[in-house]
Amino acid sequence: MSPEKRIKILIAKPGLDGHDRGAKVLARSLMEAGFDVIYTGIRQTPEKIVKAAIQEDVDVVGLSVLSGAHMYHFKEVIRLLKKYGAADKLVIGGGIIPETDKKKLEKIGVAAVFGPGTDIKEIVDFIKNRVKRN
Amino acid sequence: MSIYKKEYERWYKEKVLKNPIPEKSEFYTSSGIKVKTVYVPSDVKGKYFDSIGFPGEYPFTRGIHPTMYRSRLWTIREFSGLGDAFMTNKRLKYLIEHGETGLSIAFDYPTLLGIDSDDPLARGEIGKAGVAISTLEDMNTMLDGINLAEISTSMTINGPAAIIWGFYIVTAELNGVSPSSLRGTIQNDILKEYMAQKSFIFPPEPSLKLVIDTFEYGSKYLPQWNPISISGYHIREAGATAVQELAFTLANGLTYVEEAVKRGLDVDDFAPRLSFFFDSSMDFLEEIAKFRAARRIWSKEMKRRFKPKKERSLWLRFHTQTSGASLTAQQPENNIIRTAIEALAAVLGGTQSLHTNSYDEAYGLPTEKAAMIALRTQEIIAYESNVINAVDPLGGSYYLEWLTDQMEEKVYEYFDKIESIGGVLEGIKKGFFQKEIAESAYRLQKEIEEGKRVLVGVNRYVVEEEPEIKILKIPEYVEARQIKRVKEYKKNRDMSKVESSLNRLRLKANEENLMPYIIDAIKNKATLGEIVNALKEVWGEYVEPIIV
Amino acid sequence: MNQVYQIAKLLTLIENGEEFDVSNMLISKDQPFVIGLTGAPGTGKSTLISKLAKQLSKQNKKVAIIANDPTSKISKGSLLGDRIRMDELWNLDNVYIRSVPSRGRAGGLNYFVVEMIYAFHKFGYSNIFVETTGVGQDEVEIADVADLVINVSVPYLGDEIQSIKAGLNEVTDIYVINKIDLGSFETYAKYLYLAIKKNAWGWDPKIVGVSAIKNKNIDLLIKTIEDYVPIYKKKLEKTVMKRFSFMVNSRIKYMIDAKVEKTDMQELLQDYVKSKSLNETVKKLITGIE
Repeated sequence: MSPEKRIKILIAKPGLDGHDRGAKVLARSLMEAGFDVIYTGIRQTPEKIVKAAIQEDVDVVGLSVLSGAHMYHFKEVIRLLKKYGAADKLVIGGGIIPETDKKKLEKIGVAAVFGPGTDIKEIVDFIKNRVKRN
Repeated sequence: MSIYKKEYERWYKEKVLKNPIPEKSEFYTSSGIKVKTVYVPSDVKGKYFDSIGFPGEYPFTRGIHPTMYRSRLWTIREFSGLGDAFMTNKRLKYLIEHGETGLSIAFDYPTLLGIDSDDPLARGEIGKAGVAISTLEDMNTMLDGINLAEISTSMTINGPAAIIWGFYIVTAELNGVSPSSLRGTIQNDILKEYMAQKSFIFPPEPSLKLVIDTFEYGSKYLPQWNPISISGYHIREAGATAVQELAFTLANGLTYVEEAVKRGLDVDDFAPRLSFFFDSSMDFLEEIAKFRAARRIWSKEMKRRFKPKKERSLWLRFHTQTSGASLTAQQPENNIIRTAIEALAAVLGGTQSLHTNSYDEAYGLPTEKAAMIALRTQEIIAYESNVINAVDPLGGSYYLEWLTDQMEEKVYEYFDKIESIGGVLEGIKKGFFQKEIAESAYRLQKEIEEGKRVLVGVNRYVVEEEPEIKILKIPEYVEARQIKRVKEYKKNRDMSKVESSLNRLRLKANEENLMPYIIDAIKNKATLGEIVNALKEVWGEYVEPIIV
Repeated sequence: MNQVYQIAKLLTLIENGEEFDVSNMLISKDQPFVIGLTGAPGTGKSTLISKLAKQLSKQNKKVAIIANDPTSKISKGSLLGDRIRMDELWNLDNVYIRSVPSRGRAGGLNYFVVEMIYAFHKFGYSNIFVETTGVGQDEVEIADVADLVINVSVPYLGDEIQSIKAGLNEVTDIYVINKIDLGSFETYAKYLYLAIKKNAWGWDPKIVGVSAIKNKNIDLLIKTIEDYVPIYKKKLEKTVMKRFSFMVNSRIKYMIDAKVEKTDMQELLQDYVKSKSLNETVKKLITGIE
């Protein structure tokens, strides 16, 4: 086995929401799809998430929020990624996020929001297509 | 061999195996229990009077009361909370007007974790998952105009449950209602937080101590209050199977009883006031079997381990919520049907109170319209379907009795496993429950993706559409308004009194029952966050072992 | 953050096989202090590293942590789960955590772990922890890379044999018994003591009982590590040579693995059938590496 350019993904739960079932299932599924995955656990602040994303030089940052507090946290993560020169990282989201907010999030830089019932394959294909290694 | 068994085998060979339309596949319950083609009397193992019995008599398989809904319907108790105390007060009154018979409060995330609204950690989260309650004033405003002597209130709060309870008790007093007349429940089930819901604050040992404090305090001063709702709902929603939900919940319950007895409490002083909280999901008959098995196992174990003198100490009284995880974002109106089926299972299972989900829950907090349909679901079952006419109407169904026995057997397998690893607390430290739950969640997702488990609208009968439903949005000004309120409250008080009451709390945290000190701090105008922080200083914060 | 960003990108290049020139660093007198941590999953390696790193960071040292996790042979993906156990280090500006998959290098340590160590060193990181996967040969291999090897075990996992696994007692310098808060460990410590071998440099391996999570005896452990420093200095030249060997070895493995991956096995088999000599076939394969 030789190291091909693998895609590295950070799955994080920002804010106070502790519902981690989806994030954990996703982390494991992405690993089985051949990615290198880091799961940060719950109760992460945007600052912590961005710092980890940069240290680990991930290609994708996946945020999961089910508590309704997504607008605030996603915005913060994107702002900090920009601030530290890491805006090229792909940001995707999941959780309980209504359609109108999905559109708002896509406008501020979230590449895609995957709601309840999303097939993991859809997420895997999306990432494979969007992440290009330079 | 019994004649039924013999005949079954004959029938199976002649009719089933030779059937021109063969069976499609093998059939399993959602927990993975294999199901035969049909069930016959010999499948029911136990003797009627030993394992089934009459409702209201040991082992209570058929119900804890002899006449169940013929005397009194289950309580219609819709979980609600949104924005701030004002908004929630309005919604509570709306629900009461439309037929709700008991209150059930949902708190926002900062409140659940003991964080005041004006804390920077609360930014973006205020009022989004439930109501923001940081102060005594918030509680008073939320319950304004509601007679606490006449209605029972369930509060879904765990880490800071003792404090929120304190707010409620003091609010009631301020409004002329004495503690002994108060009826309600605090969820206060910290063990399942470590396993599933993850809204823990302190480490397990001091958290358990605080729970037993509430048992003690409740048995003395609030005899009509349930100081705990031992929950399986969250365990199930995190991905566990029905069997795991039942096993882990009952194991937790027995752990609480053990701890209380260790402390020196008489089991008959607190056991009658223990309550439970289960999920009701889509495997209709399995859920009914689960509820019946729950009552049987609990009464057996309570009798065997603690030998109470009162019969009431053997009762498993429970609240049910229909499963949120079973609902879909796709074609959301389908959720109305799912919820109806799940609600019916809970009623046929003999629940004492019931919450039905709103169809828009995959999008956000329920709109008024959705909340009303949820209420109507229960009312139609109660008044139109006639299922309440006979107690435990499905009792005696060969399949159901067999399945009830199966659930019991599998729960005992888990009990043995848990004992071999050293008990519930050890299991939590070792990550045993978390691993079981994560495995089940992962397996379920795989089944859905492979199409083995059908989710209508998601992996079958899919439609390309935009949902046309209105969603509830918490207006942005609510956060700012709440922060301002809390800051004002903090300004208008005698800080020296707050400080000294918090000091007493810190000193007594490990020494005495904390409830009187918590109530004292609340009366001196300490806020939720301040009390929690004082306790954090003594007990520290819990860091969970990570299991994926 | 700028520097962190630079290091991050450099590490990625190294991870993907790009050459990073460490030749001068290898012959320099200025060397990092590399601590390798071995131990089965569940023994608390990550938590322990976290506590040690915190202490070192307080002493104003720049600390790097390279956490190795196994890559799945089937999916080729990996779940890098060490970082989350080191949550408390997040706001320390002089601590850097990098999770690294083994990428199928037999053994568990990433091919380029030595290059990564020197990459960190170049940016001023003086203390570098390398955490092994805990499930492979890297438990022994780590001695070719680290200056000091600490093995972490827990007396309650049910298999005391764990720590005495083949070869482990030949490379371990400090045995840490973790989770002592959960119960008595004297019997286990005695058992360990019997298996210890004095190493070639005259160091008697030490046994230290700690509770990482309760912060118990961490200072004792740090003192024990400090006691090792004179040995570290004595060994240094030899260690750097071992490190270089590991680097060479790994680079060879990487080149061959990469070549084999790209090779059509059917064609190769045809080749072998023609030549009748496996040696010839393989030599052809190796010399064909660009």
